[in-house]
Amino acid sequence: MKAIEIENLSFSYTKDQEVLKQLNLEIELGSHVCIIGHNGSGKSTLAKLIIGLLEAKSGSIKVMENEVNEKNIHTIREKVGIVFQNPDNQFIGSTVRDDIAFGLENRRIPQEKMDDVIDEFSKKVGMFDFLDQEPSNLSGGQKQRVALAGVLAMNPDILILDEATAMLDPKGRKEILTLVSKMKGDNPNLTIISITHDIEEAYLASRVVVLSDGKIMFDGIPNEVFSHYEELLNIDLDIPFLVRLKRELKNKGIDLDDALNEEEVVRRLCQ
Amino acid sequence: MKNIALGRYVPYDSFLHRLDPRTKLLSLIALMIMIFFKFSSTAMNFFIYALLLIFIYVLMRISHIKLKTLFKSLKAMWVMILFLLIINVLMPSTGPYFDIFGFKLYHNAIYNTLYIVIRLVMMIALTMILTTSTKPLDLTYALEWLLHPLKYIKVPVHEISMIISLALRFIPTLLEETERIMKAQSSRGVDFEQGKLKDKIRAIVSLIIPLFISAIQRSEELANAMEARGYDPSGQRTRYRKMQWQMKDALSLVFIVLLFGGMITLLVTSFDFFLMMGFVL
Ligand SMILES: Nc1ncnc2c1ncn2[C@@H]1O[C@H](COP(=O)(O)OP(=O)(O)OP(=O)(O)O)[C@@H](O)[C@H]1O
Ligand SMILES: [Mg+2]
Repeated sequence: MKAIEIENLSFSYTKDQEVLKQLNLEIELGSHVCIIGHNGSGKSTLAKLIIGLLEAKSGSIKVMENEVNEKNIHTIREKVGIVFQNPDNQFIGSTVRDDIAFGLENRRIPQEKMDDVIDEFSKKVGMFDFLDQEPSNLSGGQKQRVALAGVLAMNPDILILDEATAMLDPKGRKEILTLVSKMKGDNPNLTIISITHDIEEAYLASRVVVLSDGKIMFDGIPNEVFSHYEELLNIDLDIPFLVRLKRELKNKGIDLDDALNEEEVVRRLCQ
Repeated sequence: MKNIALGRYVPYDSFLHRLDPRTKLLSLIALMIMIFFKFSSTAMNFFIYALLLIFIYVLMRISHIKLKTLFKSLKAMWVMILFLLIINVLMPSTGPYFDIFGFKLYHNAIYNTLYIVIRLVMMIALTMILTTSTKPLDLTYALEWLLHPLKYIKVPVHEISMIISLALRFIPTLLEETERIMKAQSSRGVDFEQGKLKDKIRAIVSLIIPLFISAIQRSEELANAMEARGYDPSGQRTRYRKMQWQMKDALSLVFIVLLFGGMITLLVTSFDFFLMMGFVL
């Protein structure tokens, strides 16, 4: 069984502009895939199609063998959870506690069981001490952690992060990424699809898919995808600092291609 | 922007704060009705008002509202009180009057103005007590509970209460946004403080348009987030916040019912011990 199977998917909001063009994509259960692409390349559109917030024009999407359509929508929403970009606009409850409860209420979890679930997942994301806080007293990163808790509390098989770290400061971003890695460690069966502009984030995934103009441009392990340096620059994607650095150094005659991280590059440069 | 004090919940651990919101809502309604009772004599009216005022003052003490806070929110009413007095004075009336340079100032005119003023003060104080001691969201739940029977005549009570609670949730967010846009526009040279009317209107427009656009975008994203988390307005949901009747609610309601009953009895029997003692006002 595949987590996601997309076949010949096309979608457009308006007549004159096709956002996704005959897209094909398969995502394995339990994998961590990262989707990158320039602004307006259709990443969010793809995410919304997978979770059934938008309806495909043609082609098909299957989530764990369930066709995404009106009839299956409840099953789909049970299997897929999504964290969006804006921390404020997905905080629904009046307090952290109520926000995590929101999804549980929709799932008709009995009220007596909710507190246990809320405690468990708020602890997991480190927001247990903030349970009675209102969103206006929380930082963006904290709100995103609550959003993550709210989604995970519903026990999804597939977690989509649609630029969930894009509006955060570096510290908040790091916290979320660490948390996601930890979740993945706790539950290796969780399929993670992270959509991002942050190419450093892409290195956390085992597979990177580059979307450009509604089509898949590259698809492979991070190192391989980012070796297409010129092409990625041509579609306005930021290249990771490390890759760029190594490239520039190579042009100057210093070959550090096998260095794994910034520290190593620095160390070897200093030698 | 932040000091919209009237109607703000103030966290405190008082008896009134701990009461079930439904108790408070029901009591408020009962008291609001009592305020408008009119008894057989002026003396009796003032006597009952005095009792109610004392009761309301006690409630204010319990919920830790300072008289100063109440007076602050009454400040804007002076104009209205004056206006009421003038209207009442100009209305033809009967009974005893003061003769002020040939102008008849009826006692009734003064009493009627006083009635209205006292009622207004009591209404504002009561509302203030309720909103200070009850979280807006709890109030929404209480309201939903109260309006629950309307479901059977196809009033979307749940949807309305969800809309109210979302609005409450987003008020601080939108205020923050307003401040941010104001700062951004100020840095572009828009002056919100001074200038001619034309400039002022332009300044307001430069605030409202971006605010609107962002609010619409927010609502769309919010709807998406709610749907993605399985929200279905017409579907069955469980409830995390359960309201729980407690002993203190029962006692409070019994007290209010007794008070209400007492007042009704006085009203129906036209009981008036001022008259009985031969005291006429
Ligand atoms: N609700 C909408 N109505 C009409 N057009 C839309 C709508 N949402 C997105 N679009 C258009 O569809 C295209 C793809 O948008 P999408 O949001 O999927 O891009 P994205 O890859 O997520 O971009 P970003 O990186 O900025 O989030 C864009 O050209 C955008 O202008
Ligand atoms: Mg997007």
